Parts: sequence; structure tokens; C-alpha cells
Amino acid sequence: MKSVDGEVHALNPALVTFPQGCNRLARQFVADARFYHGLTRAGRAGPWALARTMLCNRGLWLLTFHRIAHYCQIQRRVRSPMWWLARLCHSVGACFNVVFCRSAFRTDCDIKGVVYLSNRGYLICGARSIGAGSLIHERCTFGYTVAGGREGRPDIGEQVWIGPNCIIAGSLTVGDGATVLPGSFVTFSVPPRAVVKGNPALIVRTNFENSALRRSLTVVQDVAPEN
Amino acid sequence: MLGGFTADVRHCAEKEKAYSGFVRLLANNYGLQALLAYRLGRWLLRAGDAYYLWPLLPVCWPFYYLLSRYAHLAFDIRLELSADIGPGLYIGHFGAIRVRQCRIGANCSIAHMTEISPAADGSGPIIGDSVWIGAHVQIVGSYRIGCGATLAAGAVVRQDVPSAALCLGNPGHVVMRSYDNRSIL
Repeated sequence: MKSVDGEVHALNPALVTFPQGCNRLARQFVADARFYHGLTRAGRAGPWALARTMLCNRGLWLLTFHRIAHYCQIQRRVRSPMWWLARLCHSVGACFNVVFCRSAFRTDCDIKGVVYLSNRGYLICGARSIGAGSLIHERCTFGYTVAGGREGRPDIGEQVWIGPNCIIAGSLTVGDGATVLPGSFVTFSVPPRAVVKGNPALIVRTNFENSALRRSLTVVQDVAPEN
Repeated sequence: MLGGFTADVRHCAEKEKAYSGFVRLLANNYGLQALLAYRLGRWLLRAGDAYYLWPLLPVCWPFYYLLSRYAHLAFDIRLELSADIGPGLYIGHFGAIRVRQCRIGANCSIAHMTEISPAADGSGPIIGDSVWIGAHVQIVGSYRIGCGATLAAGAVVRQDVPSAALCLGNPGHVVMRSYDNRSIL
């Protein structure tokens, strides 16, 4: 798990135990909550701040309901009582995501670890997978195309920063550590640690370190050119 | 009202083959719910001309208002009655769709975060038949989009688009003069 560095929280996922069956989902929720806490309310400790993080981040709810929906999707052959409970949560959560987050995720989209999804919503995600540590801002579309010879769905890598108003469509891979600047329309594979910008997108920089971007929620419109 | 909405349902059923039956289609496609409100409102506007339909109006206008508010608040789809939408519109997703004061032809297809609205002087865009409009498209101003044109996702239209053309980018450029959009429509 990649967490925001140098912060100690009361909820340590290694120490908390949950009943069998929902163990992985609950651990993942705690890991997500810590990640959101570091991003949105950094520096504030205590149970009240943590509770506010869990309750007041719509993106965290979106992520959690998506994980439940994904659990239903992959466990649909084994219909345990926990599966039926998750299915019930999924029915409620899908409506919640539409109405309060204005977002829709395909249930087979695989989110591989902690990610940040924007609290402002308007995410339409048909991606095949999203890597751990990615930061996704509002009004993004990850879609599949049916025309133009690039039929298929995108794979988002690890530690990717995606700005608001982006469209990533087609059978492509966004490499690890890539940066997609706001308003981009990406239809080709982005190499790792590259920066893309524009509509249609162009690679404006290679080998850019986006860890500073991913540490806060500030949106940059442009990056410094390479020397 | 019925003819236009029947065409919408037919177009929607063609696009979403996973849902069989009218009720499941309507329950799963939020755009269809917004279109139901829009078609009802347009019909009520015209029903004001026929005096024998006047008793219906005080019942139906609040119903229209509730339906359109529901589509606006729950899904953020705003199809205003000043828009003239032809039969057979398909709305792909939900969220931040704004259509007002424009003319849209028959059998079109629009997606989420699309804005079709007039310029500041009040003259709206005119869109032909069988136009495919992708996600995040903005058509703001009195532009003419020809029949069978395709606006790729993210296109920001700043000029007229000829028939059967493919428009792409910000600002939008025509990158192909003859593009067949029948497979995606």
C-alpha cells in the first residue's frame, strides 16, 4: 500500500481486524480513508477529523461503492450470504453514485489499490484497470471506443496524475507516473513518466516527476519545459 | 409527443441491447427519463392551441415540472423546452448535459457533458439528422452541423461542420470530409 509519507494515523490497517468475509474490503476502505485523509485534511489528527474524512468525501464513497460493486462482479459465481449483502449495497450505491457523485463506473473496472477520485464527481469510467496511487480529478471520462480502429478500453497505470476535464479513450495504456494535464483528449498510449497535454493530446515532456503534484489537490495547467 | 418518444425508445433499444423491455430500458437509461419529460413539455406547449385539451394543462404542467426537475437534480440532464429536438435522440450517459435554444434533427446521439446552447446574441446552433455528438462536446453559438456529421469526444465547435464530416479537437477542425458514422450512431 502506498500511503502519504510521514504521517501517523490512529487507524493502522495492519492493526485493525474485521470479521471474516469482508476483511479485504474493509481493510481497503481503511487504506483509502487514510489516503484521503492525507490529501484533504492533512495534519489534523483525532477521531473527529477521521470521521469527517470518511463521511464528507464523496469521492471516498464513490470508491467504496465501486469496490463493493467490483466484489459482486468477481464473486458472482460464489453466492455466499456476504455476496447478497454486497449486492444489496451495490444496488443502493449505484444510485448514490449517480445522484450524489454524478459518476458511473463499470463494475469490471479493476482499481488496484488506493486511488483518489475527485469529490466533485462527473467521472465516467469504463477503464479496464486503474493502478495504485493515482490521482483523478473531476469531470474525467475513461471510455472505450467502437470506431477508428482502436476498439477497446484503457488501462491506467500506477501513480498517474489526471487533471480535470480529461478524456482517455481507446485501447491504450497510460504508463506509470504519467501526468495528463487538464483538458486533454488522449487516444494513444502514454509512456511512463511522460506529460501529455491538449486536445488532441501531444507529449509535451518526458521523464517528469509528478510526486509533488500527487501530494496535494492543486491543479496545474502546465509544467515547466525540460532543460 | 408519442411519435417522438417512440422513436427515442427505438433508438435506445438499438443501442442498449442488454436491457429488454420498455420498463427495464426506461429504468436503466437516465437520458430516456429526461427525454420523456422533454417530450411531455413540448406536447403541452402545443396542446395550448387546442381548446379541448385545456382541462389537461393544469394537471400535466406540474407533472412535467416534477419530471424535469428530477432529471436535472438527479442526473444533471437539462433539455430545455426552447430546444427543438427531432425524434429518435439517444443520450448515452448522464451528467452536465445542457441543451437549449437549438434545433436538432432526427436520429441523433449525444453523450455526457455536452453543451449545446446559443451565443450571447441568442442565435442557437442548427444540427442536422443522424449526427453523432461525443462526450465533452461544446457547440456554443449559431453554427450549422450538417447531416451525418460526427463530432469526436472533446470537440469544441468554432465553425460550421459540413455533412458527413468528422470534427475533432479544441478548436474543432474537420479532419475527414467523408466519415461513415452509421456503425456508432
